[in-house]
Amino acid sequence: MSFDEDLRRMIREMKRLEEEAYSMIREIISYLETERPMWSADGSIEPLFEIYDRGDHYLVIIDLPYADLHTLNIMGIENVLKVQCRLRKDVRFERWGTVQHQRVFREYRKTIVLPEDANASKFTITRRTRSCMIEVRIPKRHS
Amino acid sequence: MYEYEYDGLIFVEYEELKLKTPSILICGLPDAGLVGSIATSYLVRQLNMKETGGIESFRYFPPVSIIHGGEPKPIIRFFAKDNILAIVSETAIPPSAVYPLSMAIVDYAQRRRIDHIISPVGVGVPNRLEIKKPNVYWIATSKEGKEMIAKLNLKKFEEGYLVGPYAVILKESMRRRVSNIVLLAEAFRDFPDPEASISILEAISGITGVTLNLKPLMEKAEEVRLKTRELMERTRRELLKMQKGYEYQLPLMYT
Repeated sequence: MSFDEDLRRMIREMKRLEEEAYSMIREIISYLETERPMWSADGSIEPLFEIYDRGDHYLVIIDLPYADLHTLNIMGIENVLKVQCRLRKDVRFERWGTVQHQRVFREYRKTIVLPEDANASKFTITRRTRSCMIEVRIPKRHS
Repeated sequence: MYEYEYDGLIFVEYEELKLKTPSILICGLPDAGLVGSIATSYLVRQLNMKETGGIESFRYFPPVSIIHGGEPKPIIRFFAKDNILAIVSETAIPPSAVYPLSMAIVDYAQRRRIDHIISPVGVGVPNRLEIKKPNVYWIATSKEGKEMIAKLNLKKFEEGYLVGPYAVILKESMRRRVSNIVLLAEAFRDFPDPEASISILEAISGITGVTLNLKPLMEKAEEVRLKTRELMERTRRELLKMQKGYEYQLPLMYT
């Protein structure tokens, strides 16, 4: 193995450890929310998301199946992103939750807390209509 | 009813298990992208497989009872038809259960003289958004398994890490000389990925010769993603504790 390859491997490993450390912090935050369901009786549901540290910016990928991406509304304040998006149609599930209620869901709603150095007021969005996902690029303050 | 215990795990069979040969055990355990869970659940429904038993544990599993059709069911359930036995788990596997459960599954396969264990695995790739059709890679512990997979023209998984229950099943199968065919589909690590499950099901169809209509899964992919969010979130948390991030890394001795 050459020195260059070795160095690249070490950088990749450091990057992985950095992402893992951030994931652990996210884990601690989400642990506090463990028993909170990802849906609400008001017809809103929370999407899944992933956050990647890309050096000079953060990349947030949000999974929004059934979403009408034309209704996507994102607000960024300091290091917090607020995401709202209507579903393409009301989604009705006949047996949902422990007591098998019929539930109708109309929109996604989620508040995502990013690391302190994220400047969420300056984000850019890429819509992936085929997969119904969005990518949100958030610069870091020092960059 | 037949019951036996392996290291705190209770295996229950509602009736005598009779599988045709070559007998195949497919493990649908929650992992990256829920690829194995979605694929195996779909297989069970498509083939109209019969529920034949399950696994319970007072030591390793959370105190949860899953109710289906008004009846309590084991957390992990067995379904069988012809030469296929499918294992489906509807809850995330806690890290403390990974070793005993995976070893118990291999032990069970050996006791039941299963010819091949198939592990449908999602392997997280950072560029998954750019991939239209996820590739499937393979690992096989036996000569027969390698021959079965060779005809499918899939790429061998040459270098990398595998983390979680499927890693232990692979190692234990190797140790006990049980045939384990691991199918690894490129997938989102933290989002349910029915497209990756479809790629896996195509490979399973090729190996087993079972014809599967995958169109309904393609059409219902968004619904599946929506409905499995909470299981994915719980699985993500458990995978994190197992250092799943290793799968993004190349091993040191890759030259």
